[in-house]
Amino acid sequence: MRGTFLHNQVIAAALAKSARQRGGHVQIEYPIRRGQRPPAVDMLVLIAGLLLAIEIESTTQRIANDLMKIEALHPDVGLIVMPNARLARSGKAVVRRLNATYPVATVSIQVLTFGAALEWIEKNCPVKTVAHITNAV
Amino acid sequence: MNNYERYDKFFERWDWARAHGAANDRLGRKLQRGLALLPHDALLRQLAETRIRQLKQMSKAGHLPPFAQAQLFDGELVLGQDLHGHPIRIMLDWLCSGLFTVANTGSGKSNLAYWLVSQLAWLACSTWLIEPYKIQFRLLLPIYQRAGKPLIILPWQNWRWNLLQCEGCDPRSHATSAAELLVRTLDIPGRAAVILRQGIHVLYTKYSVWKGDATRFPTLFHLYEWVRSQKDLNAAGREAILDRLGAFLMILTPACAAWTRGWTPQDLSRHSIVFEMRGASESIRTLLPQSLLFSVFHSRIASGLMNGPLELLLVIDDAQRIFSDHTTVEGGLTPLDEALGIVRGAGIGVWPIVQTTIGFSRRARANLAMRTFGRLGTHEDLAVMGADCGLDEEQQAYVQHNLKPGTFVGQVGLGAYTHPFVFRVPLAKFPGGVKEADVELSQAPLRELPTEFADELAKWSPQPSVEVTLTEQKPATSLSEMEFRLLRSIVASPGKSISHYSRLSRLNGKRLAKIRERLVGQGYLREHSIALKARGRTAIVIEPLAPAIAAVQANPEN
Repeated sequence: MRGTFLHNQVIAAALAKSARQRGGHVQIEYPIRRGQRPPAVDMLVLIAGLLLAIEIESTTQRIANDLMKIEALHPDVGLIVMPNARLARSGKAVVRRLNATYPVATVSIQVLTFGAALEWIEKNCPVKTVAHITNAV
Repeated sequence: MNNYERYDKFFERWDWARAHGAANDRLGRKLQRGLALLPHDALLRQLAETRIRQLKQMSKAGHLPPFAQAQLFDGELVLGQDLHGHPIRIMLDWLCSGLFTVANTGSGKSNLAYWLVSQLAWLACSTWLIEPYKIQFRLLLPIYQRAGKPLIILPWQNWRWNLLQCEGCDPRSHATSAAELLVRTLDIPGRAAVILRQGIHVLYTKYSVWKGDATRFPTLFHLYEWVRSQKDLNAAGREAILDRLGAFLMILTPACAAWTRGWTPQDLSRHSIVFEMRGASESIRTLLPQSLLFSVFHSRIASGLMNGPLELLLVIDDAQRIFSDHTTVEGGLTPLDEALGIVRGAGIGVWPIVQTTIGFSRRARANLAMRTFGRLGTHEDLAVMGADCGLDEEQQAYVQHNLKPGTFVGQVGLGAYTHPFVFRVPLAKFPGGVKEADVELSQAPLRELPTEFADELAKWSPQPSVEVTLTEQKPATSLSEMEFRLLRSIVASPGKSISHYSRLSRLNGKRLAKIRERLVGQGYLREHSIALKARGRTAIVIEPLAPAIAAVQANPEN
C-alpha cells in the first residue's frame, strides 16, 4: 500500500479486519481500470451485498481525485475515511462543494472519521452466521 | 484480310475499344471470340462497330479516360477498381520493391492506405504504420481483431527506445548511422559531431559492446552525461551538444529513452504496430521513425538478404520529413536512401505517402517500383509523376482535370504490365472509435518483451541537481529501563492508543506522558491524533520509528 503508518497499519488494517470479520471480501489497492499503473482506491469491499469503495485520507487535498476514482468503480457507497473529526468536517465541506460543481450522481459518498467508519461497517454489515448442520439419523 | 481492311482499320479500332473495356462484359467476350473465328462476319462486325462508335463518342465528349485497361488480374491484393468496375490486383511480394503515393490533402491517400492495410490483416505479413501527425490508423484495430491478428497501437511516449542499441547488427555501422542521424536531426555542428562520435565509441567500450556484449547498451542520456563530465573537450562543441541534446532529451523523457535494453526491431517486426507520433516535437518525429527504419534495415541486412516473401510492410504517412532530400553532413548519400536500395531482398516493403514530391528524396523515389498519385497541387508534381509513370500528353491533360478524391493513377514497375492505369479506391468505413483502454490493452504483447530500464536516470534533468534530505535526528543512546519497557510494548503492538500501552507497560498515565514526550523528542516515536470511536475525544496513537525498533532489537527483554 502506498500510504504511511497511520494510513496502512492503523486505519486500513482495522477497516479490513472489521470487514473480513463480517464475511466481507476485501481487495486492497484496487485499480480503477486496466493498464500499467492505473489509479487505485485504497480498499474495495464486497460485504452483505454492498460494494464499498474506501479511500483513506489525512488531508482534504486529494478528495477530488478520490471522488473521481470512486465514481469510476460505481460502488453502492463510497467511504472517505479521515483520522479525526476536524478533518472529517473539512472533508465533508469539500465533497459538498465538489458535488455542487460536478455531482457524483450515482454514488452515495460518506465522509467519516475512523471510529465512525468502523461503526458504519458494524451497523450496515451485520455478521452472518453459518447454519449449524447436523447429520440427522 | 480483305481489301477494305486497310481502309476501315477495323481490328485496329477494335483493339483500341478493347483496351477501353469494350470486351469486358459477356457480350464483349463473345464478340471477341467470334471475331477471332469469323473475322469477316457481318453481324459480329456490326455489333462491334456499335461498341466502337459508343466509345468514340464518349472519347470525343471527354468522358473516356485516355488510359488502357490495366491487365493486372492476378495477386493477393486488390489495389482498387478500374473505371469499368473491374478489380486491379497486385502481388503481395511486389510490395517488397516499394510503393510510393503522392496526392495533395483530401485526395484519399489515407483511404488508400486503409484499403490496402485492411487487406493485409488477413495475410501473413506484419505491418508498421507510422503516423507523424494523425491518429487515424488506430481505427483499423477492430478489423485486425476480426482477422484474429493483434494490432498494437503505440503512442511515442510508451515507446521503449534506445538509439544506441545495436542488437543483431554490426555495432560499427550502427554507431555511424546513429551519430549521423543525431547530427542531421539536431543540427549539430562539425566539431561537436566529432565529440559525439567519440562519446558513442567510449560508451560502447564501457558497456563492452565492441566485445559483443548484447545485454545492456548505453542510452542517449549516458551520452549526454559523458559529454557533461568531459570538461576538457572543445568548449564550443561541448556546449553545442549539451544545448541541443539536452533540450531533445528533456522532451523525450527518460520513460521513453532511458532503456539500457529497449525493444529490438526483430521483436517488433513480429507484430503489426501503429506508431503514433502525435504531440511529439519535430525532432522526435524525425528521429524516432528514422532510427526505427535504420535498425530494422540494418538487422535485416546483417541477417542476410535472400529475396524472401514480404514479411513487413512499413507504411509511413506524411513521410516528407523522414525522406527529406537533405544530404548528409559530408554531402553524400543519406543512410536511409542507401538502405532503401538494399532492403528489397530482405522481405521489407516501404510505402511512403506524401503530399508533394518537392523536397522528397529523389534517390528514395528511384527505389520505389510501384507509384500511385492522386490529385496534385503543383505543375512540378504533375510533371515529375507524369514522367515517372510514363504518361503521354493526352493522359497528363486528362489527369490534370479529372482526378477526383479517391481516384488515382498507378504504374507498376514489376510484372508484365507496366503501363499507367487509372483506378478508384472504395471509401473505407470503420465501425466507431477506439477507446483509450483498448489502446493500452493492445500494448500488452510488447510489455512482455525483455527490457531493462536505467533506474539511475529516472529523475534525470539537464541541470545537475543535488538532493537535500533531512538527516534523521539521532536519538540519545542511553535509555532507562522504563523507557525500554514502553518501547518494547509499542514495537510489539504498534498503532495502539496510549491507554493500551499504559496497561501493557504497567506505567501510570503521568509518568508515561513524560516518557512519551521525551521519546518523541528524541526521534523514537511519532504521535498521531485519531478518532478511534464515533464520539468523544480523539485518541493518541503511537508509531514506533526505525531507531525505536533498532533499540529494542539491540536490547531484547531479559
